[in-house]
Amino acid sequence: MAVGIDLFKTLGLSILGLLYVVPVLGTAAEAPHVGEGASIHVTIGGSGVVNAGVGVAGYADSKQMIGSLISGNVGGKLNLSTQIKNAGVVNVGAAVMGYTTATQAIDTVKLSGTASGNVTDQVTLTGTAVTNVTVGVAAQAKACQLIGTIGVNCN
Amino acid sequence: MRYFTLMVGSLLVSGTALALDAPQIGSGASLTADIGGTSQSVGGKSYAGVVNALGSVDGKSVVKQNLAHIGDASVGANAKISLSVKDAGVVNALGAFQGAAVVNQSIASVSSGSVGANLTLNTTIASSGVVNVVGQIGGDAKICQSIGSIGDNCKDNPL
Repeated sequence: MAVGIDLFKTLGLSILGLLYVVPVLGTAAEAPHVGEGASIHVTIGGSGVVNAGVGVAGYADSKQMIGSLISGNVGGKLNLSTQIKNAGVVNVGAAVMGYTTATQAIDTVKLSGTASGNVTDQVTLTGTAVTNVTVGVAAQAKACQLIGTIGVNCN
Repeated sequence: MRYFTLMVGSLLVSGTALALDAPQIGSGASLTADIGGTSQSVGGKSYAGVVNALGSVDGKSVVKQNLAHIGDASVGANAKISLSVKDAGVVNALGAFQGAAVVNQSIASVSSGSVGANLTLNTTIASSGVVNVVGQIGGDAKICQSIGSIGDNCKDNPL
């Protein structure tokens, strides 16, 4: 019996230990959590091209996010910088027969993301840089282009 | 008292087991992907690297392409992800789909999990490097492309 009590005590102590382990590990597939300070740099240049383009017979929902905090939280400073230069091209395009939404976000912090420190956001477009949101739609369309923006979404 | 202890214990153990399914990485993790560019091992010449996720599907399809990406993981401090697509390097998520399709391309990004302090994401697409998500889709479509981003932009409004 004494052995049984010791076993329960041991289990209890182990379980108390787990109370501290679980929050640190986090739960899979939740919005990401980043500790003190994050730095994101994206360069699209020298004829670099980024496309999200589709031909769709039905409903289409296209989202292109570049150098952005989409969701989750950053514990400290967040530094976002994107350079699109020297014929760099970023496109979101769709040829759609039905209803469509097309969203392009560059260097953007959406409503569902939080940064507790300073946010530095710098977007540079030089040397024939091009960013496009283009849609050819037979029915209703919603196109959103967000560049260097905080607190905006396209829901 | 014993019963209470066991009940709490089983719940916590289950929760911990689920969390432990995700990879646990210590500090200083570094993910580097170079697509295209010069390789010393082939005489210093420049060759075009190509990465494709291709599909031709009659029914509903889900295509995911993740490059230099952290998802469902716990990563320590000073993690660094670097990705370059250059010198005619190409990254494609392509599809010809007859049914509904979800195509999700995520490169140099963190979509979920937890990362310690000082995360650095560097992405370079240059010298005719190309990153595409393109498709011809017969039904409804959801297209998600995230580059150098934190979060999951393909989570809302499932088809």
